[in-house]
Amino acid sequence: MLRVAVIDDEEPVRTALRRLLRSAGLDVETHASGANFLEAAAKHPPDCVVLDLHMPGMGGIEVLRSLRALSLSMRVVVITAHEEAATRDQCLAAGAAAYLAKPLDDRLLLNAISAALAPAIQVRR
Amino acid sequence: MRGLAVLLLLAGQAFAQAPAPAPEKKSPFVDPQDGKLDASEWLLDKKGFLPVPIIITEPAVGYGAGAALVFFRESIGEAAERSKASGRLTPPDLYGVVFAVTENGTKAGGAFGMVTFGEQNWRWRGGVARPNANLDFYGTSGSDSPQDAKLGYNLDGWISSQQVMRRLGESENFIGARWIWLDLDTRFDPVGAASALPPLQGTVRSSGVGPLFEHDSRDNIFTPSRGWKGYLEALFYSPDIGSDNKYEAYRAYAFGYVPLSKEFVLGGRIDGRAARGDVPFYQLPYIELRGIPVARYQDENAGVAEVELRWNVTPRWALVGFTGAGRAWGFTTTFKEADTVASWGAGFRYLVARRLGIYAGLDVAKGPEDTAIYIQVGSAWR
Repeated sequence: MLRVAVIDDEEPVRTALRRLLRSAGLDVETHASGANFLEAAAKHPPDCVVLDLHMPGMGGIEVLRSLRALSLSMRVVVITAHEEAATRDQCLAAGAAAYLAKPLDDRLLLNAISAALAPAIQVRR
Repeated sequence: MRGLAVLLLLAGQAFAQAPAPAPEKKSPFVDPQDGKLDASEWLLDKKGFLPVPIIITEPAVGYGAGAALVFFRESIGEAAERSKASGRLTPPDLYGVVFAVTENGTKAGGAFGMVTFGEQNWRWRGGVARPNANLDFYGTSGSDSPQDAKLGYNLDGWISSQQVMRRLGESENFIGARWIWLDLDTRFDPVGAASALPPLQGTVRSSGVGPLFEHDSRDNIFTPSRGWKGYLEALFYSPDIGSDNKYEAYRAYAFGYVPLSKEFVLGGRIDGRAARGDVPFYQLPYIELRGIPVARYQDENAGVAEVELRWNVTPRWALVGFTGAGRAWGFTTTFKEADTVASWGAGFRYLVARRLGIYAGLDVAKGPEDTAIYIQVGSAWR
């Protein structure tokens, strides 16, 4: 089963995305902070990451840069409640596969995840 | 069972169009009291197999049609005699199979049963269905979800619901247990540029059991004019009983009827639902009101209040007016912060079975997005 990690400091967001993505046939793990996620990802990297941009402590940009520094190459979908063109460019430059605004349009989210996982889905089928 | 009641009455009307009997024989579809169309006699005597047409008018899946084959172990008349002897109002025992399709491609087939046993102290209601439903999900963000950001999906699999209840003493109260089992494949519709991508799809198995309580003191199970029905249920889904996810679902509802005069009957209804834990999104509580598509407004909690007034204009014809409002909340909003969703409408009823007190008719309801039509047999509330 393909694995997706959801990193968001807001518990309701983690819960709602876990409900949706599990029904989409994905194995979902959730993390309340970037530091917790990086620790887990180093041992068992997921196939895709849904990453909140603004979190206390380590923010989404720092997580993206850390993934690159650790040579962890999973696809990342960034989600944020503070959408700005400059931040979008920064995220995409740091390796994000997609950049979505909150509140989330679930169609866009699933499409972004589907696109990110497409190579892995094709291989496993 | 709502659809079944619809079917029974429609079958009665269909049968009424069969070739007329010999002139000297009384028609079973004419009430000797007033000479009007009436299915009482036919319904009271009917038992054995009964083919029944189905009409679906649910906005969430569009208009549809189907058929059921229902087996009555005893006639409604025999059940009524049994009830008279015991002083307890009991429905007839029946079993059936059903199949239906709708205009958006949804289809479902299944089998069901309803049996009273143990000196009318025990009741079993159960069913197994194979749905293939095309529905829309309006957002993980609850009421904060972007407008019109509906996510189309298909549910395909198996559903089973089994319920056993025991009467408490000589009262109209029952306690019991219910087991729900779902094994459903979810397939999300790709949109736009993503349509070339492989769709995300998965299978979730859910198994939940829990206690229930029911009170039913209505004077008629079809079209009540007095009394009330209340229901409490808590279902616990757990991997210990075959569920993939661990979650809980709660429901409490009550509706009642008060005759204001010989002509007017006032009804009221409240309905509350809640879910906690890793509940699949399609099982989240939703606002259920005429005029609002099923599952249009979902969140961790949903509450509804509704009133209906029936005006018996003549001994056969009645008019109804209704309005209701509800809120879905919990994800990002409290109850106070959640938007109120309201609907209202009107309809007419005809007393199709005088001796059974069954009215049938049509409702037109207006919600925030849609105007919907509902065929009603008996009360809109079950």
